[in-house]
This record gives sequence, C-alpha cells and structure tokens, in this order.
Amino acid sequence: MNEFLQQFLIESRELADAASSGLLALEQSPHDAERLAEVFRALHTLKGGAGVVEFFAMERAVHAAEEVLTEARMGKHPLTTERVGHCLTCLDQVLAWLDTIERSEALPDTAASEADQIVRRFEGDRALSAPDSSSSTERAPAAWVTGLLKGHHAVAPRALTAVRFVPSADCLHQGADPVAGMMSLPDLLALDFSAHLPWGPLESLDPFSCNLILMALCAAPVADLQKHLRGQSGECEVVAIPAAIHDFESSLPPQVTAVIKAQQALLGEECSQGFAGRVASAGLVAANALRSCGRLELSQRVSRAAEQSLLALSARPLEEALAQLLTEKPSLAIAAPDELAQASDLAARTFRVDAEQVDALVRLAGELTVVNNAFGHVVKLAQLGDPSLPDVLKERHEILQRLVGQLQRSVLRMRVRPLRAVLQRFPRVVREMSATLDKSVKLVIEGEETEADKAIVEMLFEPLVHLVRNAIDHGIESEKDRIAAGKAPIGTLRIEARRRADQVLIEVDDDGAGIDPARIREAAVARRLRTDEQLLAMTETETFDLIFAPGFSTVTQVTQVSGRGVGMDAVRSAVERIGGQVSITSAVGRGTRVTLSLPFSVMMTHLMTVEAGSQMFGLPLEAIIETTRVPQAAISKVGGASVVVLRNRTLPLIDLAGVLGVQAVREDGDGATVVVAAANGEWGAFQVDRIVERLDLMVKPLEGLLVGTPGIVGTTLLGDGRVLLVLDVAEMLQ
Amino acid sequence: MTSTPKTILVADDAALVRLFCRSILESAGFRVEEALNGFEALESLLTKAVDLLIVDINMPQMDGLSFLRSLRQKELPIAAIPALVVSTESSMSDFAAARAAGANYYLVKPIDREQLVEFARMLCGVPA
Amino acid sequence: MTVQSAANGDIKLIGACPGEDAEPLLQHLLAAPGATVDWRDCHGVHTAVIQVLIAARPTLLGPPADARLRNWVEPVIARTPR
Repeated sequence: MNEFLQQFLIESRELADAASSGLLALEQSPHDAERLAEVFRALHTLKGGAGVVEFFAMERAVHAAEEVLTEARMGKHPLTTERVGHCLTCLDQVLAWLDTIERSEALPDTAASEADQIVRRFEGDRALSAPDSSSSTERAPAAWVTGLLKGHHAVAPRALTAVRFVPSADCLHQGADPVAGMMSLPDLLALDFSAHLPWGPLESLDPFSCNLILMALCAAPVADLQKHLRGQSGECEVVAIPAAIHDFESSLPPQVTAVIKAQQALLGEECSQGFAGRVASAGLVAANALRSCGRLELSQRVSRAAEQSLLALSARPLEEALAQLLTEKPSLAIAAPDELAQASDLAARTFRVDAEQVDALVRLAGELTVVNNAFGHVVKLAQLGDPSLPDVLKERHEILQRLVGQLQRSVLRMRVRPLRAVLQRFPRVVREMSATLDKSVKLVIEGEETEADKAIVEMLFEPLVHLVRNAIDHGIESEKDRIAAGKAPIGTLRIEARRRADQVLIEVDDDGAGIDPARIREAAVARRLRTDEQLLAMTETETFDLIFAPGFSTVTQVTQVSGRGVGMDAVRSAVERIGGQVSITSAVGRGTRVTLSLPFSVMMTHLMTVEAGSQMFGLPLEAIIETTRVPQAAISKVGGASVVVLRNRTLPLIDLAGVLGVQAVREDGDGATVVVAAANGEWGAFQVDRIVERLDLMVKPLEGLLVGTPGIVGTTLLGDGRVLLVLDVAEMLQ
Repeated sequence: MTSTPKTILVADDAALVRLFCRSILESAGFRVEEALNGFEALESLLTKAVDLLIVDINMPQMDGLSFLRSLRQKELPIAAIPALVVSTESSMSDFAAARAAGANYYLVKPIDREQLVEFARMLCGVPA
Repeated sequence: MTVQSAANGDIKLIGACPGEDAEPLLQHLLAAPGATVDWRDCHGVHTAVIQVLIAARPTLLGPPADARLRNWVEPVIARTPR
C-alpha cells in the first residue's frame, strides 16, 4: 500500500475517533461552541481527505454529518440526541469503510448505496424541501419495482432507484430515441422493455408509433436520474428503492442455499476440538458462496458474524447470521451490542512512535556498532594466543550485555501506548448497553493516560466489554429498585487504570446490587463444581473466585445482551494468557469490583511445550508441522544417527533427552512420540517423552550459566516454578 | 475486483483421480496443485496460497478425515481453509463423520463434472 | 443502406441503424418471414428499429458488435417470446 493511502488511513481513523468523542460530549452539552467547532473541523477535514483520495461515497456521507454541525453552529437547528446518533452511525460506517480500504485499497462496491442510506437518515430529520414523485420511501414499493428487482436479482442489491418510462406515442416522429436515452442513464445496472399495448399483426405495425414501456435499475440517486430524464416526452416515474426492500429479497440460488445449509450442519456438529478452524472455514465458505452469486452485502455480513463468533468463542453469531439468510423476511435488527466488540481497528499494523524514542534507538545502534568493530581486535588476540584475551572478552561482553539490555528496554518502550485508546470506546458502549438494557448508568473513567504494552491495549477491549455488560445487566439495579433501596437513581460504573510497580491495574466497579456469596455457593453445588464441605471451608474471596470457573453462571434469565452466559471464564483466560490475573470483590447491596492486574510489558512467543527426560522444553509453534507417534519399525539407524520414516519421508530423529544430556524417561523399543518440525528448509523429528500443551509465554534470553548452551534460544518460567528451555529449532536441525 | 485465479489443492493418492480433477478444474480457470498424501498436502498448504482443498476420503494410505481433523485443530490460518470432501459413500452417518472432521461440503462419486466446477466456484467465491 | 439483404436471404444490419431503417427492415421481414437478421456488424439501433425487432421477433444472428447492444438490448430481445 502506498504511503499516501497509509497516511490517509491513520489520519482518518484519528479524525473519526476525535469526532466521535466530541459528539458524545456534545450530547451532554449541545451548546458548547468550542466543542461544536472542534467536531465540525474534524468532520470537515475527514471529508476533505476522502475527496482528495477520491472516495466519493465517503465524502458524501461525511458531508451530511458535517451539515448537521454547521446547522448547529449557525443556530439553525440545535443538536438533538437523534442527530448525534445519526452522526455516530455515519462515523461507524466510515470506520468500516476504512477497514475495507486497508484490506483492498478501495471502497467496497456497496459504498455508494451505504452512503445514500446514511444521507437518507439525515434527510428524514430535516423538512423535505422539494416535493417529487419519488419520495415514496414509506409506502410499499409498486409491483413493477419488485418485479424488476426479482428479474435482475444479481444486481438488485446495488440498485438505488428504479425507472419506469412510457414514452409518448409520437415521440419517435419527433426524432427522439428513448432506448438510447435509457442506455445512457448514469450507473445503469439493468434494462428492461416490454410492449405497452399488444403489437397486433406485423403488417399493420407502425415502427414510428412508440409502444414500449422502458424500465431500468440504477445505482445513481433519484436526483441524478431526474436530471437525465428531463425533457423526455412521456410518462416517467423515478422511484427510490427503499433500503428495506433488499433485505426481503432472499432469493438465493438453490446451490448457494445448499452450501449455506451445509455450513449450518457443520457448525451444529458436536466436536470438542478444532472450533476455530471449523467456524472460520464455515464463515469463509458461506461468504464465498454469497460472493459467487453477487450478494456482496450479505457476504460481508456473514464475514463479520464469523469474526464475532471467533472472538466470542461461540458459534451462535455465525449460526444466527446463516439462519437469517435462509428466511424470507429476516429481522431488520439494528446493530446488536455484540457488534461493538470489533477489535479489528485496534490492532493497526502501523502506529505512531515518539521521535525521541527513535533517536534513542539510533544512538544505541551507534554504540553497538562500536562494540562490534572492537571485536576485530579480539579475534586477533585469539589468533595470536594473547594471554589477555579472557579479560578483554569479559570486558567486551559486559558492555554488550548492557547495550543489549538497553535495546530490549527501548524496544519494549516503543510498544507502550496510553490505555486511552481502548478506554475511550466505552462511553459509546455504555450508552448503547444502557439503552438496550433500560438502565440508567453514569460512566466514570479514570487514568486513561496510564500506559501499557500495545498487546495489552489490544486484548483489553473484549474482557472489559464482558465486565461492563455484567455490571450494567446484573450489577446495577433498575431506577425503581435503586430508589427503593435508598440509592441514587442513576448507577455509577467506574473504570480506573493505574500503574503499580511493573503491573498495570484496571478496576471495573459498580455501585449496584453486589454479589451474594450464598447464591454462588448454591450455583456451585447445582453445577457440581464443588461439594458442600469444600464450600464451607472456602474464604469469601475463594467463593467469589468460583465465578471464573468454566461452566459457572448465576444468570437465570438469558437477556439479549448477556446472551449465553456471563463470560467470566473468557475474561480470566484472556487475562491469564497475557500473564495477568483477575479477581473480584463484592458487598451485597453495595456493589462489585473486578480488578485486572496485567504485566506492564509483554513480548510473547507462541510455544508448544514438551517433556523429555523430566526437563520441559518449548518449541516455537511456527516451526512445528505436526506431532504424532511412530511405530518402532519406522525408526532405524543410519551411520551413527537415527532416522524415522514418516509418510514416505525420511527425517533425522533427534532424541531431545539424549542431545541435552538428560536421562530419557521411556521404554525403548516401543515406538516414539515425535514432534515434526521444520526451519530454514530443514526438516526433522524430535523425540520426546510426552507432548504437554500450547502456551503463549514471554521468553527471556539466556543469561548466567546457560549462556552458550547450543540449541537453546531462551528460557521462561512456568506457572509451577519450573524453568522451560526454549529450543532454537533451526540450530538443532542443522 | 481482482481476477487472480484461485488455487485448488487436490489430495488423493490415485493419480487418475488427480488428473481428472486437474483437467476439469484447469479448464474452468483454476490453478491446481496436487498432493499424494497428508504430509504433502500439509506442506503445500503451508507453503502456497491455497483457496480450496479437495480431499478424497476413500484411500487406503491416507485417512482423509483424520488429516482434515488435525488440520482444523491447528492454530495456523490454514486451519480455516474451505474443504470439499469426495467419497464413494453416501450414507447419513458418512456425511456426519465428514462434518465432524470439519468438511464444508461433500460430493459423492462418480463426480459430476459440472457439479465439481460449480461447487469449486462457490466455495472459492468466484462469480459465475 | 444499413439494412442489406445478403445472398442467402439473411438481412444484415450494418453500422448504426437510424430510425429510417425501421420501415425497410419491416418490409424485408414481411417479404421473407423466416429470414435471419444478422446484426454482428451492428453498432447501434434506433428505438423504431428495436420495435420492429421485438414485434417481428426474427431469428437473430449475433452477438452484435457494440457492447451496449450486447449488454442491454440483446438480453431483452432474447427474453421476448416469439
């Protein structure tokens, strides 16, 4: 992607975010002149940028939002909640377009009609100025329009307007060519003509008496078409196709329906493993099938649902999206709160870095170069057998260690971002959720300038959404209940972030109903998670901790927002995966607090851990092809080395226990458990005692006594305190 | 809209079947890669950009369903590859077994030429 | 003349056919009802000519040279029943 487009993406995202937060603030104080000017400027610049890169649909949509701000600033029409809502929806659409542009360097085909839908929302709010025969968006569309859409269903999703033109009978005598006129309509998608009156016998045909009804579908808006058809003599009807009509056209080709049903069956199959692979492939296949028959908007909808399913670790979102495709009249649901949990925009591949940090790295690179050059001298000493060699080496090594340590710290520092990026999304989340759940909630955010590693910032959104959802849904009571309990009618939800030593602490607390330990114990017994005796022996903290156990939920009612459960076990696993912890405290009637403590800096490697000779080893996941057992017959010796024949390939067999000098714990001659790996084009099989598990851990480079051990790239500590040796696969396979 | 051809990997230990699929699919505009067994299939998937996997599950040497199952369990992007399974069996339990292994669609032999192309197109997202 | 009779009785539409061609075409078709209309070299047809083609619905030898005719006119005529 060229630099210009990258710059456009970075700036546009910033502007859209700035405009969004400005709008939310304006909702509370709509007459804040400075804020109005701020948001106006952001929208204006955003619009301008879109014009420069010629993304005209985006320009049009943002212009509509900009107009709202202009009218508010001029006092012509103050900002209402509804108008703010339209602007926010417009910005959501812009962000979605930016994601598409990032992937494919162009707006999606549906952008023009999506932009028009946005513009229509704004127009619905303004007094309609010019009456025209096309403003029939409220009434059900005429039969000829539905007939036309059905007859051309491949292009129907993109059609914005339908035209029906019956030229006057004598227009041909006057030199007109109505068919040519129709063929030159802007953004023509489909053309149809039929006889107005029956033709009659051929002998009495008058070719110059026009007897045709001409119909067309176009992707251009009504105004453009009216301009074009002005001056044509005859009866002309230009109708805007209501957005809703597209959703009712579920006439998918039968083969595509078959494929979609097959994916539904795939998702419905009970299977403990490979969830991500199955869901992702089902989503991809369904989206592809829809794309192959031209239903691009439906295809994108399915892709988004698949992403949600993968994020939420539940097949439900995708299953529901597929079910909707097959019913005649799918529900025209507005964005479900799940759609808020799209973390794609957070994981940007480019991000801004402090110029000073880059300068510091440049200086460091200079110092490293000096040390590197000095090694030439050291080599000479070695060649001459100079006795001062060990001391010189030691000194150089110490300098190098210091510099490398600085390098690690500097690089880690570059990845650090303020948590504002994730926390600033929550005013919007809370707004939507409290509306859906009908609760009054005030959100207080503290410490958004607290910094943390980029990886933390990126993973934090989803667990926080779960916690916020729980707090609003189950924590904070309804206004009526709160007043009855003597509390302030509006509940307070507080999200606070702060730094403590090498940890980042994030607290989510509410002043709601709190959690009753008795209910937790009841639920634990009901779900057979603990026995009565065990529960009696637990402290209150341990009791609360049960909330995080998989399969635990005290929710008796499944609400639209909370859906299939509390998600606390998902929160815990997400947090633990990154090396953090989560705990919960609560007081009945007073409120609940969930505390996340996360490491400040994170550099994670994906590893497969194995055991060989009572030692734990880690193999980088990207080097692993497969793990399997081979029969003894497949192992043989060639020269002094062992080889194994696996699927017609002969691979060197490396006994991990043996190579590293530890005693193997297994029966010889019984076959072997192997990990097949490849690095730098070399293949091999590592023989191990057992395969343990897949982990994401922070790997520390070798230090102290282990320095220089061949084949090892670093170490890390496991949860039980043991040291894991991370192998350098490439080196070991040489 | 890009028009780069889609790549289909045909995994079958019978050369005749591979040839049959190759000739049909190539004339329909697809690029075809072949694999004789699970190992080769995995190697192709890891080193090339494959859009669709066609795997025959009635083979003595490679258990196509086991291969598919292990593929779906991987933590790599290839775990999400669309997979079309081909078999001589057509009972409900066979379909269920294929789904459980992670197959996205199932074609019964003898394979109809037009069906093969049609489903390959749909699973790869190629407009007709 | 943009409407020609070929040796084998086919009627050829050549180039852009203006409204004036409608009558001659109609006469040709009345004279030879089973004739084929070859519009492979045709670059445009006026509405009046289209009316004749739809009303008479002769066998068409195509595809027409012009993309617009191919995209918009040919499908409609093809859909019209005889």
